[in-house]
Amino acid sequence: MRSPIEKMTTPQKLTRTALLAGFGLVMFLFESLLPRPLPWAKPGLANIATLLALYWLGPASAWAVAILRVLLGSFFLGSFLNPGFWLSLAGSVAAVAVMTLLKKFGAKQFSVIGLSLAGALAHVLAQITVAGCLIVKRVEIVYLLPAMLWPALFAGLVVGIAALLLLERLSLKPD
Amino acid sequence: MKKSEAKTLRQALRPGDGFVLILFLGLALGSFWASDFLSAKVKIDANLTASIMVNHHEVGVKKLAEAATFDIQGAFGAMTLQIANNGIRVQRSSCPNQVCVRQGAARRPGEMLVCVPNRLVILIQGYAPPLDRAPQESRGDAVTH
Repeated sequence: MRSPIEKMTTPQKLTRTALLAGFGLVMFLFESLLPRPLPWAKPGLANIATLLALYWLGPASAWAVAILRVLLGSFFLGSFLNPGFWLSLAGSVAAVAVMTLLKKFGAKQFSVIGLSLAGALAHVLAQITVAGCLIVKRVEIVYLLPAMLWPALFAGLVVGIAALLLLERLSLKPD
Repeated sequence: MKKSEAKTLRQALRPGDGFVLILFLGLALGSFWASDFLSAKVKIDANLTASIMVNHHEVGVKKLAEAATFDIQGAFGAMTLQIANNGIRVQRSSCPNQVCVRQGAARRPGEMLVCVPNRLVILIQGYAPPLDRAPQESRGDAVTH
């Protein structure tokens, strides 16, 4: 008798997804300890785990890794259901959605780096939209855009390059 | 980065990556332009005032919308202030180094003009009204000092 979860995935894939979710969580917690000269910007190293999951295990795993990271990360930091949690969730959902779509329909046109950049962009735009609609409720929030977009550009590049080199070094190929 | 890694990187790049990069750069640059454009609108706000302080005491509050030229007495000597084009500047000052004159005009909320010898501080006060609402509807959390 196979359990419902076994029908969806193999134990191997499940284990690997869990491994990457753990990796993402560790990166997220590590990042939260780093000093942040710009309080609204952080490197988003946890997105490396999402990208690895997307390329190694497929979109379902990427979704699982990203959502689990946001949930578990908020439990660890005590920010569950905070305003910051919703921002984080919105950013991550938008980033994974854009990245899985690009991977599905443009695998030939985009490399990991392109996906990472697009994910970073989606993350910023989603966060600023949610922050604008739920928290600040002012048009003036667009003043924050340049301050958020520039760090995100560099973060997206770094994360993309890291994910690319990791995929190469660890020979993470889809089965 | 090692040579082999640089090679991996070069081989991995796809045309779409450049497209995303350009889109990203365009938005980042465009948002700079947009926020400049928006703050230019805030500049011409009729509710902005200049609080003029000498020796930490307020000696006058003037509306930036009403052009005027007037003299005040600083700690060092006489000064002439000018309000024009929704901004205030020090036109003439008795002080030795003329830093305050060269500062030019202040027009945005929170901006300051300072003349140290005259112990003069001019602070622009008032709120920037939200762009989609009338000023009187604006709530307390919009006040910027």
